[in-house]
Formats: sequence, C-alpha cells, structure tokens
Amino acid sequence: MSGTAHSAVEHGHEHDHGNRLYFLTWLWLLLITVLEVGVVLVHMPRAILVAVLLLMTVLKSGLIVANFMHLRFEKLNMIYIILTPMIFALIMWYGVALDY
Amino acid sequence: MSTIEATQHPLAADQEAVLRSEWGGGRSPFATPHAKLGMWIFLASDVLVFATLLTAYGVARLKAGTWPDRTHIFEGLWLVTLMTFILISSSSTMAAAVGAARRGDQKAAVRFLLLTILGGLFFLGSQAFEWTSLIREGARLMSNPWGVPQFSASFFVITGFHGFHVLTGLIYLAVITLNAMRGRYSGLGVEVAGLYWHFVDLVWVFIFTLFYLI
Repeated sequence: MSGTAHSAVEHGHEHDHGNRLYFLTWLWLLLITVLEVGVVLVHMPRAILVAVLLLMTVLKSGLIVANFMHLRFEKLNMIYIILTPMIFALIMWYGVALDY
Repeated sequence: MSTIEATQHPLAADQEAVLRSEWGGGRSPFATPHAKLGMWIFLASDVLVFATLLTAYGVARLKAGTWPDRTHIFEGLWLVTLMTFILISSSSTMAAAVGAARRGDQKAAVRFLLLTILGGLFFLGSQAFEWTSLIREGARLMSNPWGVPQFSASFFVITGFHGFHVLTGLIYLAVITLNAMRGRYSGLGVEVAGLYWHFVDLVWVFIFTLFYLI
C-alpha cells in the first residue's frame, strides 16, 4: 500500500538527501532573511542597499525554485519552461527602463 | 470500491497516464507526469502576472518621485519578518510533506501538511491584521494619509492578490490533506500541491523585499 505514494518518474537520488536538503534550504532562507533585515537597519548608501537586497532576494528565490520545487532535478526542458517567462519579464523591464 | 482499490487507484492512474500518454514522438521531452507539467506551465504564466504587477509598482514608485517612509507606515519590521519566517517555514514543512508522501509515510505526510496549513493560516491572519491597521489609519485604495495614493493602490492590489493566492492554496491543501487522511492520495498529488505552495512563498520573497525593505 505504501508503494502507491511513489511517482512514476522518480529520481533515485532525491530519496537520499530529501529532508536534509529541505532542512538546509530552510536554514539558509531564514539566515538570508535575517541578513536582509539587518542590512536595512544598518545605514548604508541607498544604491548599495537596493543592490544588496535584490541580490539576496534573487538568491532566496533560487533556493526555493531549485530545492523546494525540485527544479534542479528536472529535465532541462522543464527548466526552459520556467526560464522562458523570465526572458519575457526581462524584455518588459528593458522596455520600462527605456522610459527612464 | 474496496479500500485497497481506493488507495491504489490514484497512483496507478497517474502511472498509466505517463506510460500511455498521447506523446507519439518517442521519448517524452519532459519525462514528467502531466499533472506536474500542467502545474509548472500554470506557474510560469503566474510568474508573468506577478512580474507585471511588481513592474507596475516599480514604475508608480519611480514616477511618484516621493514615497512614504516605511517607518511611518508599518510599526517596525517585526510583524512582517515573523510573517516571512512563518511562510518560509510552511514551505519547508510542505517540502517535508512531499518527501513523506513519496516514501508512503501517510502519518508524517498528514502531520507536515497540517503544519503547512497552520503556517498559511497564521500568515493570512497577520495580513488581515496589517490591512486592518492600515485601513484604520485612513489608508484607502485610492488615497492615504501619507500623501502618495500610488502607495496604497499598489500595496493593497499586490498583497491582496498574493493573499488570494494564499487563500486558494489553503483550500487546495485542505483538500489534499483530507484525502491524505483517508489514504486517498498519491505522492504526485502532494508534490503538485507543493509546487503551488512553494510558488506562493516565492512571490512573497519578492513582495517582502520590494514593499517592506527597499
């Protein structure tokens, strides 16, 4: 009965470090969040602050997508599905940036 | 339907669907169940919706020239930081639920799903509290006491849209959890629900930085 919970196209190596990977990802996400709040409370030039915050945000989103959403264990084609809208978003941001 | 049929049915159907998919061109390009592929494609489109909303917010903020100081609006960062911690943690318990469901550990899966729902409820409650305090201070969709109407317009629309995603996710998780309690679930079903929940967390990571920190 317990066998019913196995997905058809499972990758063997996910079993090995599953919970450990989630735990480490969780720790990293919390740590980066603490750092984010920390840099806001420390006074620094605004341009640097914004750059540092955006960098940490992208890092956090990468951790979530790669580890929690398992994208790094998927076929390259799945990764392309996620990257494609990001390319459209970049085109949009470029178009918006032209106005400034 | 007997109990054994009921528990075996969902996954057997998933496997059948993968093995006998309509794909006729040799090896499947995704090698993934259709439910998971469908969720990924939906999330890819949702990425664009949120990217557009957040871009509009950025444009509004840059065009406004002045923007209310966050220390005047939010009473410190403690509440939103706590909300962020809770949502990130609920994403972790969701990942653990997926792992447990895959191993076929029904009890652990249900326990982690319930923790995830608890986190989501706390988050939604805090958001309701925050909205209420802002509205009490006089913030409206098209106006606010801080003199920059664009602030409350983008804040209410974007956090509202995200909160709507959280609410939808909670209903989704509740259904999955009830099924899991009855043993009528598959690792795949929990995994697809997990993708949605992680996405909600992912969007919040951006909202947290763009609205509360920058």
